[in-house]
Amino acid sequence: MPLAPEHLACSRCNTPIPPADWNREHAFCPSCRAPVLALVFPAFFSKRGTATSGTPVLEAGEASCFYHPLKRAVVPCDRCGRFLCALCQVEFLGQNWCPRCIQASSEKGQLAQLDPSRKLYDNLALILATFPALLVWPTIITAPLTLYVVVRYWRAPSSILPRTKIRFYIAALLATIEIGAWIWLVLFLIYRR
Amino acid sequence: MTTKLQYSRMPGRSGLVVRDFLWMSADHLLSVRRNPFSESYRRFYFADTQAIVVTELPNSLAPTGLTAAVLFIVTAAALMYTWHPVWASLCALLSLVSFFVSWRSADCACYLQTSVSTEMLPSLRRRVDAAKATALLKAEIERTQGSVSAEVLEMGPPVARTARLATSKPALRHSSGQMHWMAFALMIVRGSISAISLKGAASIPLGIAATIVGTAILLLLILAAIQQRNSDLPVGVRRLVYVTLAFYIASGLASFAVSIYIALQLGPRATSQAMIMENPMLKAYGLVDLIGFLVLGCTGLILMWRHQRSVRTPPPLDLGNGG
Repeated sequence: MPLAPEHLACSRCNTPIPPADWNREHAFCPSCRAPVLALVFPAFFSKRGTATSGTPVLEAGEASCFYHPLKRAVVPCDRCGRFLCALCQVEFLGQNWCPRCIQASSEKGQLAQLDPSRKLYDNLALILATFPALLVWPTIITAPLTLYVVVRYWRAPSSILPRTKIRFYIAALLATIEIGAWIWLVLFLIYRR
Repeated sequence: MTTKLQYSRMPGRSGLVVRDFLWMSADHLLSVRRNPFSESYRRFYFADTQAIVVTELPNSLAPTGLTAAVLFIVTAAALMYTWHPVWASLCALLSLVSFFVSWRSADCACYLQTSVSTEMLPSLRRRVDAAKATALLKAEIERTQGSVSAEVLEMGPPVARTARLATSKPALRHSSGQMHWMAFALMIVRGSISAISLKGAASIPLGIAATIVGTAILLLLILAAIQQRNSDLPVGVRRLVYVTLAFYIASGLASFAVSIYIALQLGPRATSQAMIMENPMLKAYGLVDLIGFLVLGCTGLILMWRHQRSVRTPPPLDLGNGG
């Protein structure tokens, strides 16, 4: 991951934008004269926070961190109740979580806030139901496959953005029609004689 | 615990197969890259956002695409006139593609900076979309972080971050583009003379006027091509000058070729000027010439007007700070 530069630069020539032009409309790059809008917010001026490693246990009998027994516990995890030191405490969704709870929830697909990507199975089903139909014969394989995808992934988490199941419905309908057409063709060929 | 997030759509999009969008939540901006089978997400929390930089880029593709679209339409019309419907349809299709490309071409770049990275927002590639989106983002970020006071802005960035102005690239020379203005305006005059000639009112004085105006355009275009070097004129204008010069040369060559063709076709049968003027080849050439001059002239004037409007009296160059 590239580190942020310590200045604001013109996207065209990479020349630093003078501070006098920050948060100013109708500003221009000092080198290429391209119109530039540089919006700066208070986070730009704040010092970077340093991670704390947690304080060691001072007295016997004092509560210690579940993951670091030699560190003093500062909060319990709001999910599993384990005691956490300052190093393990993660503020997330307005609660204190331990890293393991975050990892477990993320792996189960329960935290849309952390998902880096999602598979679009409804699109896959729709593509399987439509594109092979252009060549007709592949549908003998893809139509049942479409129905399998629809049934298998009906309840799978889809996009985290607003999205209906209309693609699944259309794909299932088209696949059913294709399978029906193949059955009709087979029966027609059998009973034609 | 499956949390359903509330997202609202932001202006801007890019791409055809792999598409980019922006969505906004209560506390973060979501940059989405979608291909037919999956979506990937990048989250930018309002509390972490340090800066947003939008730079207007020269949209060199727009005038070229528009010119190509018009030329394809003219060619399609000429092909329909000569009854070649298949080729005419192909040209009409290409004109649509050219128009779409020029309409959707990028004319700005938007970057969002946090403490750990600077990321481009690919969906904000049009100035109109970028302006709307940054206005929405600014409001949300300032609601989370507050706004930067004038005193803090005056102090500039933290000392450790102070960067020296890059002086490796020479500053561009400002040009008002007088030669360009005159050349493009005269092209409309030249197109009007062609229109009058095409309507059957061709005469010797009109022919002399067309020659004088044409020569003036050629001289002005050459001077404009020299003047625009290392100037702050938009790339679109600069390229249009070269395109116009190329069109001028092509027009001259085509005129020569059409004259020879008509001479060979009519030969001794060409008894009157009216008979020559009625030749369909000459009419088609006149039509293309007329449209070419008018389209290029109008495009040039519009681009020059946009350039003049965008300059908006920029602040004087302050290269002394960089030393």
